Amino acid sequence: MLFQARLPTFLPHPTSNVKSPLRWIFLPFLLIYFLIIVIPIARVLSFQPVSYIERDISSGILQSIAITYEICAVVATSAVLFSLPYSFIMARGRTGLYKAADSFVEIPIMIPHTVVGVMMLITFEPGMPLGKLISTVFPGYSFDDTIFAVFITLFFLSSAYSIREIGTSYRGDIINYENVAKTLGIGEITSFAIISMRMLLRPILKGFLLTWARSVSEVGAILIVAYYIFPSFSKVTGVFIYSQWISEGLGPAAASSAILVLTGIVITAVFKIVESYHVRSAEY
Amino acid sequence: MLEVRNISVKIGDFNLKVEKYNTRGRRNFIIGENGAGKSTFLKAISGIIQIDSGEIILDGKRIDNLPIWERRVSYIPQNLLLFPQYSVKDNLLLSVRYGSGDLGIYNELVKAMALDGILERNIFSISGGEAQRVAVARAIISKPRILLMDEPFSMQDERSRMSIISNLLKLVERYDITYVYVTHNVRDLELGFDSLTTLEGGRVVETVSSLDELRTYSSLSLLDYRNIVKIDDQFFKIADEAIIEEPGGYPCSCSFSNGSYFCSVIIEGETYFFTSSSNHRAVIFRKDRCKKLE
Repeated sequence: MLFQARLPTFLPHPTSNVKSPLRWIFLPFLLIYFLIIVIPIARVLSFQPVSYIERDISSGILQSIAITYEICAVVATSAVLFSLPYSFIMARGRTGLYKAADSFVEIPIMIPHTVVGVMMLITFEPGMPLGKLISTVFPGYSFDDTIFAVFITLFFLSSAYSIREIGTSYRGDIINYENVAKTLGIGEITSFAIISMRMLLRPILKGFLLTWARSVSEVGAILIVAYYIFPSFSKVTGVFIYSQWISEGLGPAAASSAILVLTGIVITAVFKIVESYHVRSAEY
Repeated sequence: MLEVRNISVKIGDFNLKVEKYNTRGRRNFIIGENGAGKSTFLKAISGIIQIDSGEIILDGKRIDNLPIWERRVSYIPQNLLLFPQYSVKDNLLLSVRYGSGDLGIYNELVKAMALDGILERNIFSISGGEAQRVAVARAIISKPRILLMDEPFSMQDERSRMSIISNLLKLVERYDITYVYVTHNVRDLELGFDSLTTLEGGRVVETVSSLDELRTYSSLSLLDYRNIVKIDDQFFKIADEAIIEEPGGYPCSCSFSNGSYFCSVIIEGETYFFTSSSNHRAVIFRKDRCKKLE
């Protein structure tokens, strides 16, 4: 059935042809790309002996990774939750105002991250207008070096990935299925829940992973808003490894980096397995 | 009966403006070129696209101010849009569980449309013809007052398509449903129709009850592009007796097929086609023996 068939992303396209000369022209580019990605990962994983990496575990890197992953998971969950109403409303906007509003989403991605840190300080510090307002609602409110500072900064920087992933899927295709469901007499909330939400599971997973990964990789803005996170004095992993490199040198920083990269690979693999399982169970 | 009065819809540069459209009887067809606004018109009636102004009245009641799910207007798009996360059975039962559907109609249709063998299959494992039957059944089970079909059978071969349309006619009679069917293919009209409407550039050009009533170039050229020529900015439907062989006339070349000649003629830089009992090299047309088109 040609008109609705979807192929799993991991299968070669049916038109691919091993005898294609273009394939041989493009293959070196593909290999170079993978080498650029794989070599630094292989280097960081093999730079220090396993025994050295094991000793580095006691440096506090695991605690740092744990708190970083947890905060980033909250950021990614929040981004997904905001993406759903955002996509719903933007998909129905027909005026230029919606398009103009929508173009704001990518702006945080292009701003240098140290600048984002400064922007967060001059927005949320208790002495600043918005910070003052928050202080009146929450007496004793402080901003820099708090979990809230880390959360809001990471949300500012990485929510666009969820918004775009989910929004594009919803607007491109899923809204049409939802509309057909409504013509069957199925109400708006039910149509969204039983048609769109089910079809959005994959983009949601993807958006979550992209936002989470982008948050984990953030350093520049966090250095400015929360070098330490009070009251535990813990550091997010990017900052932890940076300070390790400054104070102890390349060796310990590389060992901590190896642990971070390894855990990142494991988590990404788990997401991919869950995603492909969903593809098989929901679409085939 | 569906009545559409002075509706307008603007999507980008495209404007749909339908001053008046009424369904007549149960079987209503709409024809038009690509980009004529046929899909936009159906989506506006169903509520998928919000109209900017005007009224849509179904059985005497305004529905343009109702949400889609309260209009009881089912819409089958060209690509059918069966829900991929559900089995055939769940696709059919969705409106029974959550919408305006009827379990009795479901039970009847499963048998009448021979769907019982594929109920547990997912929609990617059924054939194109089966998917079209499922889409029709899914729409009828939801008990619509009017069924809008946007060329849902266009990808079928002619015999299969006619068979599906023929079965559809029996079903809409049985369940008392009026339908509006968008088509490109004149053959679809051979099973009969109560109204045929031509859309062009977002406007209704004409609505007729039989093919003999068609008066406009837009309609006639869509149904059969042959034997229509444009001379001095006026379209004419030409008959064999209007074609005169004349050296110095419009240049023409013909090929023999199926007992007559199929000819192409160049008039003022445009190519037109006509059938003739004779072979021609250059022709003129006797306007008094042609039918003038609007």
